[in-house]
Amino acid sequence: MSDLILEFYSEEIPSRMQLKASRDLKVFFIDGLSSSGLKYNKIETFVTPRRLTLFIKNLSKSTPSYYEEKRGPRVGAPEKAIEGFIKSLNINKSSLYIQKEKKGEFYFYKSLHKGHSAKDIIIQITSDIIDRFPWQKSMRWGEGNLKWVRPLKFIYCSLFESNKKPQSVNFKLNEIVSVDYTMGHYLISDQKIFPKNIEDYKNKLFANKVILDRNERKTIIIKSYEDLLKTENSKVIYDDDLLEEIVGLVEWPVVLLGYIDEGFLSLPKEILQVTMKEHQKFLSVFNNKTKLIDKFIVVANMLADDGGKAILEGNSRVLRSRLNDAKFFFEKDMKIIKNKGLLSFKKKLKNVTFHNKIGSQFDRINKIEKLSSKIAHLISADTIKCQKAASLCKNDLVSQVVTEFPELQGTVGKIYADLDGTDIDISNAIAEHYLPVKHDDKVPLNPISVVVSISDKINTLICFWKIKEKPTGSKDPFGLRRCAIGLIRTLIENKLKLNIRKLIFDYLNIDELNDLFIFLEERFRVYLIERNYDHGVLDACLSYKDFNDPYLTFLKINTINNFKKDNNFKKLTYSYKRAINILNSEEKKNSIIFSKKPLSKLFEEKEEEILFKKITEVEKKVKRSLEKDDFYSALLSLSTFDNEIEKFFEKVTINVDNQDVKFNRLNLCNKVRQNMHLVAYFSYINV
Amino acid sequence: MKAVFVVNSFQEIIQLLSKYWSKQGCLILQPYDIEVGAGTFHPATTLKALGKKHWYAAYLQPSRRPTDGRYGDNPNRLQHFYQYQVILKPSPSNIQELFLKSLKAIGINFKNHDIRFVEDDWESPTLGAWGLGWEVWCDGMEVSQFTYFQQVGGIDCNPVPGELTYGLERIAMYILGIDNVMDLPFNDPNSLYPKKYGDVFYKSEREYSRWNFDIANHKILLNHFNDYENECNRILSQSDIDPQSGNAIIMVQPAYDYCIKASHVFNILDARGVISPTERQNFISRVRNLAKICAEAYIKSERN
Repeated sequence: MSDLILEFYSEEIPSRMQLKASRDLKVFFIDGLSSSGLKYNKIETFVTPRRLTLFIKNLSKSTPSYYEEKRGPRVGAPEKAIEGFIKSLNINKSSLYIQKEKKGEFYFYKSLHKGHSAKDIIIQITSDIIDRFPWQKSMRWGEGNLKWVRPLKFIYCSLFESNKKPQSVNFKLNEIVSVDYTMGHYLISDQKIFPKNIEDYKNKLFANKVILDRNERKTIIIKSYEDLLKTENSKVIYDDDLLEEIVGLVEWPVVLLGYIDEGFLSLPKEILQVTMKEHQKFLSVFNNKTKLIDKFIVVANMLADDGGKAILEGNSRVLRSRLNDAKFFFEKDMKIIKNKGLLSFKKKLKNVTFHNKIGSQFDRINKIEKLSSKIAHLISADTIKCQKAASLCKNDLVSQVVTEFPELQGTVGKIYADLDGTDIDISNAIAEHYLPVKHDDKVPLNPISVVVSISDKINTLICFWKIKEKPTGSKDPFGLRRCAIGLIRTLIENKLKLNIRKLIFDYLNIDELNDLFIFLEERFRVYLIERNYDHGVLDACLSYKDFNDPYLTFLKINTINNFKKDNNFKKLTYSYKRAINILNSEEKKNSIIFSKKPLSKLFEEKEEEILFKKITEVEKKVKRSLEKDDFYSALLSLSTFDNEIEKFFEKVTINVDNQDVKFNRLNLCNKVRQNMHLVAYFSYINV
Repeated sequence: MKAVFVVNSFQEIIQLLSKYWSKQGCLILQPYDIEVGAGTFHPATTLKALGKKHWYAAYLQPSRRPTDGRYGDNPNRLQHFYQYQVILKPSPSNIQELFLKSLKAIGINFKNHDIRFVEDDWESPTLGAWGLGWEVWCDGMEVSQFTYFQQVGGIDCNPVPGELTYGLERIAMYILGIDNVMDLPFNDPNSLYPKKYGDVFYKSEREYSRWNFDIANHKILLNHFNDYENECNRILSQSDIDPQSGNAIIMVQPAYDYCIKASHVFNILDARGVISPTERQNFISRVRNLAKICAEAYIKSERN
C-alpha cells in the first residue's frame, strides 16, 4: 500500500473554472481506477490558482494477476480441431492439460493475465487527463501541441510508502515531464519542495505560503476580516459568490481593511458596492452605527515586506478614481432628475436603439406598458400601478451611471425612483422586472414586478420572432432562451395561470406564433428535465399541441407524476393498454383510424352497452374536472372503468365476421382512448 | 526597504521598458506609421504572429480610439494614448517571470505589491484574432494585458506568441502617484523646461474629440472605407509573380496597410455615431475579411 500525490502545476487558472476542475480530476481517477481494478482507500482533490492536486490514500501496488481457464476440444477429437485450438492461443500442445467433465474428457489451457503496476495505471490515467480534460476553454503555448487551460509547467507525481523514500512516478507526456518536486507561492518563495508524504506536502506548502484547501482559504479570509472589524462596530456584507471568486485568486490570502473617503459616503450603497465588487473584487463593509458602507476589505495574494501598506495605498487610490467617476455620473443624473424630473429620461429613450429592425427603447416601453395593463387586468393586479411601473422600467438606461455600469440597470432605476418619491411597489418593480438574471436567480414575486417582468419578456419574444431573429445552435445573442425560461419560471413559481398563446395571438401571424410556441415548449421541457421530471410524463403532456399556459401544463405534469405512485394509476393504464393494443393492430391492418361514434343499435352484447354507458358518464366527469383545472379528479374518473373494460374483453369478441359490428366495437375502444387523451397521451409513460 | 532608483517621468518609463526588453533579446522597433487602435495592429505583431519563424520584438505604439475621447477632461480616458507592446514567439516558459522583472525595471517592486493574474480572454473581431490570458493587476490596478495568441486572421498560431501590452499612461500614473493623466510629468520635472502630459496632449485631445464626434465628414470617410477595402482586395488579387523582375512578390504588407486604414476609418465613423448596430457587425466582418486574406497571403509569402 502506498499514498499518491499528483499535482498539475500551471500558470493562473481562471477562478471560475477551479472548482469544476477539481471535481473533474476526481472523477477521472475514480473512473480510471475502477476500470483498471486497482484498489484504494480514498481520493481527495484540491485546487489553487496555480495547481490542481490529487491525493490517493492506501493505493494497492498493482492489480492482481489471475489465470483464465480455456476449454478446448474433446480428447480424441480430430487432430485439426486441436491444432486450431493451439494456434488460436499461440501455444504448444505440451501446455495443454486434460480434465474430466460430465460430458467427457477435454483439453484445457490456463492463460495468465498479468496485473498492472499502480505506476502504469496512474500514468495511463494522467495521460488521459492531459488528452481530454474538460476545461471550458483551453489553449496551446510555446512550440508544443499540448492543450491546457493555461501553460502547464510541470506535473509532480510521487508515491509514498511509510518509512521509505518517496518514489517518483516518471513519465513524459508530449512536452511535459514529471518531476519529483513542487513549488511554493511563486511570488514569495522560489525554493523547490520535496515532500516526504501527504501531510508533509501540505505542511511544506504552508511554510512556503500556499494554503492548499480552498475552504480553508475561505475560512481564513472570513476569520481575518472578522478580527479586523472587531473594534469597528461594522460588518462585511456577506457575498458568497465574491468570496468564492477571491479564493480562486489567492494562494496565500492576506486580508486588509481600507477606508472609503468621506466624500463618497453619500453615494447610494448599491453603487458603492457594485463599483467595489465588479471592478476591484472588494468586499463592502457596513457600519452598524452610521448605516453606511464606509470601509472595504481587499484580499491580497502577497505577504508584503511593508506589511501591506503599499498594497492598501494602491488599492485605495484605484478605488478613489473609480468612485470619482461614479460620483460624477451620479451627480449628473441627480441634476437632471431635480431640474427636469424622472420622466425626462423617457424622452431620451427615443434616441436609444433597442434593435434597429425593431425600434427604439421608447417604442419598446410603450409596448410593455400596453401589455402590462392587459396582463394586470387578466390576473387582477393593480392596473394603474403596473402601467406606471412599466413606463418607468427602462428609464435608467439613459442615465450616466448605467451607461458606465451596465450591471446596475434596474438597481439605479429603483434608486432614482425612490429619490423621486415614487410608490415603493412601483420602484421595486423597476429593479425586479429584470429577474431572473442568472440561471439560479430568484424570480419576482411582488404582483406589480411580476406583471412588468412577464410583459417585458413576452414583448421581447414577440419582437424578435417578428423579425425572425431567433436563437440558432449555440448562438443566442439577444438572450432569448434566458428570456423564455425567465418567463416560464416566473409564471410557474408564482402559480400564475395565464394563457400566453391567447395573449400573443394578436401580435404574430400563425406561423410565427406556432414557431414561438415550439421554442417555448422546448424551454419548458429543459426547465423540467433539469428538475429530474420523467421524460415520459413530459411527452404525454406536451405532445398535446396545446401548450398555452405554462403553469397549467406544469400542474398537469405534477399531478400525473404524483398519480403514478397511486394504486389507481394501475387501473387507468390497464384500461388504456387494453384499448390501445387492439386499436393499434386493427388500425394498421385496416389502414383506418377508428374515430366514429359507437352506435347503440349495433351493440349485440350487454357488456358493450354497459361499457358505453360508463364511458359517457366518465367523459362528462372528466370534462367537468378539466374545466376546473382539476387534473386529479379527471385522473380518478379515468381509473374507474377498468371493470367494465375487463368484462368487455372477456365476453365480447371483436374480430367477428360482420364488419359493421366489429368496427362499432373498435369505435367503442376508441372512445376509451379518446377519453384518456382528454388529459394526456399515456402511451408515452413507462409503467 | 527603499527602491534603489526613482522613476520620475513618463518618458523614462518608456525608455526603461525598451532597455529591459532589449536586454532580453528583443528587437526594439519603432511605432508603425499608420493610425491604429492598439499595438496589436502593428505588422510586427499581427503578421509576425503567423508562420513558423521565431520573433522577439518590443515597441511603443501610439493608439487611437476615437470613441474614448473626452475632450481632455476625464482623468483617465483619452482618444490617443500610448501602448508598449512586447511579442515573444514562441512564448518562453519563463514569460511570466520576464514580465514581473519588467515591472521591477520600471520601479514596481513586486515584493511590496499585490500582482494578480485575472482571467481576461482577448479577442479582436476586426482582426479575426483571439487568445487566452489575463489582465495583470497591481494593487487592484490593471497594468497590462497578457495574451497567448491562438489565432490571427482566422489562422492558428503555431508556434504560439505571447503578447504583453502595457497601458503606459495608467502605469505611469500609478508609479508616479498622479490622479489625472494630464498632470503626468512627461519629462524630468527638474529639466530646464519641464512639461506635463497635458502640455503635450490636452489641446489635441480637445481638437480630436470635437472632430471625431461632430465634424468628421462621414461621406468622405465612408468612401475612404470602400476605397481601402477595394485596394486591399485588389493588391492581393494580383499575380504572385512580379512581371518586372520575374520574381514571386506577394504584396502582403501594402495590402495589410489598407486593412488597418479601413479599420481606423471604421472607428471614426463609429465615434461619429453614423453606424447602426447591425451595420456595425457588417463593417466589422468586412475588416475581418481583409485581415483574413492578408493573413493567408502572409503564410503563402513565407512559404515561398
